[in-house]
Amino acid sequence: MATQVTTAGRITTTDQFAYPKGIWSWISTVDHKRIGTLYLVTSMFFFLVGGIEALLIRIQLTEPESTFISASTYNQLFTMHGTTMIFLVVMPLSAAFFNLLVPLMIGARDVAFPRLNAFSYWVYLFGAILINLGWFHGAAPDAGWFAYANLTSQEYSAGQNVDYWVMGVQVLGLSSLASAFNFIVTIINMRAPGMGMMRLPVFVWMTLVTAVLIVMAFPSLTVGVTLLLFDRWFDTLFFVPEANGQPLLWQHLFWIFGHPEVYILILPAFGIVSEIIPVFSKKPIFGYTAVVFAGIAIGILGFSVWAHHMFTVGLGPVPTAVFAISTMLIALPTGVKIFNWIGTVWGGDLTFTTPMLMALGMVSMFIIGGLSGVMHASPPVDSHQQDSYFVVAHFHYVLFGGSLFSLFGGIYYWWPKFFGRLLNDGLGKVHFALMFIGFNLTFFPMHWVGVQGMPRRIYTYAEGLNWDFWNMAMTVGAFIIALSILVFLINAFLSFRDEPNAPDDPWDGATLEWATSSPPKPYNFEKVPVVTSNIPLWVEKYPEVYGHEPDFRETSPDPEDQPDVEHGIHEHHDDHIHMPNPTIWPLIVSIGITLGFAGFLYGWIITFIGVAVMFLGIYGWVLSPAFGEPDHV
Amino acid sequence: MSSQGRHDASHGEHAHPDAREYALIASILTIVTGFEIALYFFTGVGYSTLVGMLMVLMVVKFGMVVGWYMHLKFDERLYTWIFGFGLGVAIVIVLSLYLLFTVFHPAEEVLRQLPSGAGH
Amino acid sequence: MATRHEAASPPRQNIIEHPTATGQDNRKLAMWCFLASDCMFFGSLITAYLVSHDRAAVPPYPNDFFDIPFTSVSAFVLLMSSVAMVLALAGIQRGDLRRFRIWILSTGLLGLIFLGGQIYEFTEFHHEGLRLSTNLFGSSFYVLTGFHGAHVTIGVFWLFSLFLASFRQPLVTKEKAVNVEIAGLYWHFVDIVWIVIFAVVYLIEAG
Repeated sequence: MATQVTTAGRITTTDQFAYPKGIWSWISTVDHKRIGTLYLVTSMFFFLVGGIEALLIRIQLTEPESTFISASTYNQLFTMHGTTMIFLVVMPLSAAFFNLLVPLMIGARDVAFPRLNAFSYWVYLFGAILINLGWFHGAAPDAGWFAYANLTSQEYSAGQNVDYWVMGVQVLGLSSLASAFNFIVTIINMRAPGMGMMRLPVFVWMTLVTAVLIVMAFPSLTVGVTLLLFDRWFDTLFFVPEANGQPLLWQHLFWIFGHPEVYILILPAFGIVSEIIPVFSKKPIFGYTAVVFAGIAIGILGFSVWAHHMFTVGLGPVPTAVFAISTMLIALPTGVKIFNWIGTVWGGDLTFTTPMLMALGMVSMFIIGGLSGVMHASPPVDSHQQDSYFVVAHFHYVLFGGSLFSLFGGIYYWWPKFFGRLLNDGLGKVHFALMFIGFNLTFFPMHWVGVQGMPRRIYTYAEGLNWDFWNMAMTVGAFIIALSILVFLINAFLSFRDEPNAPDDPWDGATLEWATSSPPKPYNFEKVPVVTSNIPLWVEKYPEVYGHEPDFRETSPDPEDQPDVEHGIHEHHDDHIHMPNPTIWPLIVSIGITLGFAGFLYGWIITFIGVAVMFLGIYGWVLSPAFGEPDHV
Repeated sequence: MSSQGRHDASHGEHAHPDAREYALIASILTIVTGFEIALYFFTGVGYSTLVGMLMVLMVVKFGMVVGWYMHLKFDERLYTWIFGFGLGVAIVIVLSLYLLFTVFHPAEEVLRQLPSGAGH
Repeated sequence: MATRHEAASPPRQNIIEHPTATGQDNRKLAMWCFLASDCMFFGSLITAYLVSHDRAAVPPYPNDFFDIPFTSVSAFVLLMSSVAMVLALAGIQRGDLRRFRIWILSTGLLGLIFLGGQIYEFTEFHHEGLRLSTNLFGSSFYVLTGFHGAHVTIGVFWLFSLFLASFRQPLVTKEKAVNVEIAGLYWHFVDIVWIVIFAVVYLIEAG
């Protein structure tokens, strides 16, 4: 007999439950799978925007003393390329995966706070739009993604460029924070019965550590950006040297955020490859406990290294030495994870599908990026490399080679689960090959020209420095990357011409998301699973290998019940599923907050309207029921 | 899905403190605050001693409000870990930055020459 | 342990009882996480204050300003508001709506008195020539105490909203006491931040 489902005042049953359709259903959604899809599509759009910004930078640098782009436009391009890729692409793409996967992987029906989840997406979208509006006024942010004081002061940045950055970053920060609180509570509190913390998929652990990093690191950024906002708008003197203010304070506050931020960018990627590699090696991850604890160690140590971004500012020998040591130390847990991935592949029965290629590509590229990172950890070496293209090479190897390759791997791997269609593996391999070649051609030569002294963030370079050939090669590489992305987009488009008839478990996966339909039903699981291992599906499918455990599908969700081995089926308590109500209050609050900040740029009346809308939205949100029939309040 | 949790779990085995216990805590906090203010008026106390004593009193008040009013002493250990972690990281960061800008700051000589007598 | 069947009986709005993995309420867990994060927020603000306040290049300087007796009364008011909050929570947990209303209103009023004191203090300083832009002491003092005041203001809105909401059943009830509990946690946090600010900004400075 089908289970009863209540949603938005209607009571229906699981076999009659239909996914709502239409634009309004997307605007008012609180379903984590839809929100994940929204994040995915939006972040891919901004990936194209950031990619075009990169191509323009590369065209300008192809030859010495090029006049293709002016210096001031160049400053806007590299600032926005970095800001976009970090805040509008990699973080939201990670959030897409948190949303799509975490509830399924822990056996829950949704996240702890579905409306807050919707809010996180909308405020990201509006923040992304706000920060990009500067382009339309010829005043895009232009002081670098790290906006160092006192270049950003009223005196030296008199236009609105820095204000777009300040307001945009504040709005975007709220998105990340809201999402992080949601996932921390979800992972701690919404796990299915039997899903102890040490049975969580590695991806879920990495999500938890990332979320903790976000809630601990973003406040430092918020404070720094607030002090900058006050300096620019209310004439405070925090970063004004003439009044004894300290630009160095900005650097510390920024990097106390900024260093954990790079772990925020990479840990989800580590989580994704930790899911993909075992499946295509047909072996569980080597050293699950070590992988988890290494992730936690990276998170904690990530707070102790920030001043390695400041080795050349004159901190003094003792602080510099301390931060050098802590930075070298953090290579240890990272190395542990890499050895665990290698250990997983070793002796495995390997299949080289696109997701696996992307994952292996990630591990190898990340090793290169990690090696250049360890070089930076030595202050005397860093004093030569700082502000040169060597640094650009390092962080692109870890962020593109690391995060992006992994995220693409995740896209290929989970596409059939969420869209019910498989991406074409042949085209996927073409995408991988082109992207791998293009990526290395673009970024490897940066190590050489960097060591030879080519500076960052300068719109051109002189003739006769011998950098011409490699810069040309880098530009070619960048266009090869662009071509690879085109291949991916074609693949994605073509997949939607098929009917959604992908199997539930096309890759022979180990974790709970593969136990649902493709795509999953809105309520995820008809019966909440009871879990007895961290590879529940493999235990179910291969009992001769992994030992006989009670079938997680059949066991009662009430842990006081004993499994009835003979019949395998029990009395289930969840004969009524409650779905959270769709609502537009999160959207309204997001609009209010964004207008509140936008008023600094467009006029105070907009701020007043924004604050009013925000208050209205908050009261509407709090007073409307999260579940059940809409009440008359 | 906003979940309620067990009704009885929220206070563990500890019964709701009665008004008397709260009044007692309030009185202690008042006395401690009074002592803090009295210290301010004692010009005889050396600066380092003053700062030290004020810090101790501050920590005592902080601990009492967190432990009793926020009920941390009686609630699930999980909350103590969560808040402790946040507080701990914050304290480490504040102390590190304070050291980086004072003890290790190369420009300390300049600070000593300021007319406000700052940088003691 | 609550099962889904038991969910059918209490007021249907907002609360569907699902067992959680720790047995603790999601909202209470979320509030503690938020407070841990807010420690970092205030930690960063206090840092900015500590490294800036004594570097003022021009007068006026802190010693010229602080009226410790006045600020002490203010600090005491906030401390007492925490007592009132605790009594308000005790009231709603016993289902005593009348006690709840008296004490939550008191908490909010004491919070307003505190804010009044802050505004008075800021206006006095302003008249005496200390502004955000006067010097680094002004910048760092107003920003730190101002953001604390903003937190108090949000808290006051919250408390008065709970007071009003208690008149419209079933918004504030014994079963939903956790809603008051989390407001209380926020309020006490704002109080402990003041305990730190009072010691670090006022007493140590002026000693």
